Amino acid sequence: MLTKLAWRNIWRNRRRTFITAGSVMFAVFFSVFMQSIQVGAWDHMLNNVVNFYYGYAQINEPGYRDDQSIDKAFAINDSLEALTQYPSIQDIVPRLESFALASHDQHTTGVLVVGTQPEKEDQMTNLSGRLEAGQYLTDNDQSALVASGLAEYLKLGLGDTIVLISQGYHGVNAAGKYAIKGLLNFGSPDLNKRMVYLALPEAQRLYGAEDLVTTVALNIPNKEATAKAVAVVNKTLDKDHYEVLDWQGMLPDLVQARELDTAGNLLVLFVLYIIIAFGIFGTILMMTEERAYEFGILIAIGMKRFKLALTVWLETLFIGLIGTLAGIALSLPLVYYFHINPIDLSVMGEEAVKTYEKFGMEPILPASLDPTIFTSQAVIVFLITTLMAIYPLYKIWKLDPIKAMRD
Amino acid sequence: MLIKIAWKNIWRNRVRSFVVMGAIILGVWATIFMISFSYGMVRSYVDNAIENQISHVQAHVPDFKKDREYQYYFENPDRVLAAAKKVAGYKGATVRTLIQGALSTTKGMRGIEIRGVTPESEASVTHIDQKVIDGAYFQEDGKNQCLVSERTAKKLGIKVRSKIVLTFQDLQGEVTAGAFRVIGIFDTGIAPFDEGSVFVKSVDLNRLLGKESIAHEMALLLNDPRQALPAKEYLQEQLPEFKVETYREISPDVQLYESQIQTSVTIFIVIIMLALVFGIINTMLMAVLERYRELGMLMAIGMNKVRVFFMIFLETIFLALVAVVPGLLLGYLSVQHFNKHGINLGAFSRGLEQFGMSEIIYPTVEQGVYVQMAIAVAITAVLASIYPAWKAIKLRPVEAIRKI
Repeated sequence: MLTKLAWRNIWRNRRRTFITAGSVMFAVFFSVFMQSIQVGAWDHMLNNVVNFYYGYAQINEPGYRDDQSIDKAFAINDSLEALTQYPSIQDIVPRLESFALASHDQHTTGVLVVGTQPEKEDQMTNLSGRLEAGQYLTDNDQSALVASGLAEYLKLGLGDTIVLISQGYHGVNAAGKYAIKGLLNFGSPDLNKRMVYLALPEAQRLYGAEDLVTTVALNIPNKEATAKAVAVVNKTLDKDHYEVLDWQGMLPDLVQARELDTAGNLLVLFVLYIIIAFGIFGTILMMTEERAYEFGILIAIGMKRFKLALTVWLETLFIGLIGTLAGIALSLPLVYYFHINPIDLSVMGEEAVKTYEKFGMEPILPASLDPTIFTSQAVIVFLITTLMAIYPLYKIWKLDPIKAMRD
Repeated sequence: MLIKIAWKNIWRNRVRSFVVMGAIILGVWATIFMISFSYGMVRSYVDNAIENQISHVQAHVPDFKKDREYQYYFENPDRVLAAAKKVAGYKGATVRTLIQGALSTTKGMRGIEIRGVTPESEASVTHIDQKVIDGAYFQEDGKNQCLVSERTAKKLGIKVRSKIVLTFQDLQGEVTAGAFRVIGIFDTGIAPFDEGSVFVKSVDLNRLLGKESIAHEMALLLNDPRQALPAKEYLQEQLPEFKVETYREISPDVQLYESQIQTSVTIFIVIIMLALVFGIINTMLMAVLERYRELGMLMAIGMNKVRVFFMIFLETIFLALVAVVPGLLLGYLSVQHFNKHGINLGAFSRGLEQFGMSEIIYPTVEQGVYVQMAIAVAITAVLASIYPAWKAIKLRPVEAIRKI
């Protein structure tokens, strides 16, 4: 009954309803669009780094993150193997990672050497899908895959030989020559400049670390299962010997940079919504004022003040929700379009590309379709209208029917 | 006369007027503050980059920029420095030997750029001596001293007095190595730079490279960034065989930031103004509709349509202008306040370092922004007044008077 009354009331002054709902629509449309681009861009970037290399979680010896020394290598044992029996961990991918100096001809640069089991690695990070040229590694391969940016810098081609010089396990000399079997293209410019992949046994030979690994990456089916997997590891493994870190823990700088960027955006949206709230308040104000007479009569003939206030609140809520729905409906096709066809910033020129590269980003901004972006707008509008409804509530409470009817 | 009526009209329903004005005041204030904050961040980025890394003008051998490789060096750097000293606005200049190599300790190895510097002049240009947080800056005597960043030190377990080995190619292209003693740990607050750089004395580095008195880079610091372009032109003339560049050319991101900020400022103003348009239209429309009878009467007794239109138009403009003044004032005051005290974003320091910015941001705006804001609000008011004013002149006097 009250709902019906409220619904009819808002259509008594259509123009006002449309304008107010229009302002809400504009705010929702804009914030959905802005948030989906922002969330999408960061997700894309983190996915680039996380999916293509780090994985959602890793196991190392304690302290490895701060001190990435090959001396912190350890052997794979049964308790590690046993992790795969848990549903949140599909597989474990053992890796031997270390830095090396790579040279070819007259060029030398620092690289990150990753020894891995090619098949397991491929299942987790789809490494073979990154092949730009050449072939993928086999289990006992003695050749290397290098990132295309690195190959370009060192002027390497398929079949050329790369020399890796480094320090091995417990200080032994590490040096090796590898033919280039394939070139990999990474989305993240940072990875693209420094990655070299070897088969795990070959890397262990190079670093003099037979049967040892520095990292066990966990193949987790999806991002949401990360927390579960980390909990499983913490429960089953000895904390003195192993430390598990999820991707947020591995990349604190990036996570914080994202927070910072998000905070800035939220501030803009906050201001926008406050201005819209003023508009809504204006509507409520007028609604209350011009209907003082009507309210007076309703109260005089016995309508409970509480019910009357509820009706007015429902009215504002309806207007807000109409605006929200319209805003979402309007933004959805656009967001969907940019989800399928990401905004490509390289049209802004080489400088833009270089700048993004400097911060480790691809100059591509895909929109995110994360449903929370849409639902959160509805929640915000709900909160604003509810807050605004305090005014008519107060007015109705204080209303003197006789005076109101007389004016 | 019309002006007076319009002015009085907006004060007839004070509460309503105040609501719209509140929205405008807040919009103007927030916009100015946001703009000043973005400007502050860009300034912080640009200043950091200039102060720590790139200075105002640099000179290299033309091919150096392409590859940053050891063979693109120049001889007799003193000659280049002497030319730099004659530049107008000269504040400091230094030469560096830059080599790509690897830093290794017993714990591991990292790819790194080795910066061979002249301690005294380097300090006068990049103030790296003030960024040493542990240990000391380069000492007069003692061979093979080096400065390592805190980030690298942490990752490789390096402490003051630790020994590190730098591996790189010498000028013949042979791989060579030198043992260096860590004399200090530095932190510039720019993550990518810190992670990728180690400082040594150029005399030590040049000796290992196999040639004394060479350098790859000359960096020049000026009193004022605006002198960069004339300085570049002068130096290019003096040193025709070099490629001389200003900070904008060296670091295209600085230029991009500077140009992009204007774009985002404009976008931001447009969005906030659009939001304001809704509020203003809504209010003015109300004002017109509830005065139907009155407007009808005015027209019936002979006020022509142009005047009615103009009256509503003026009311809207007044409403906006009255609000814009306190909005600008609040904006100005808060920018002044925070410009003096800074905004501490310590909670995000790692994220800021990732972007090469300082923890404390000092909001700043160019004076023009205030004028831009005032104009933007005026345009908004004009646009928002059209519909209500048009609505007002469309009414038919006879019907309007009869209504209610």
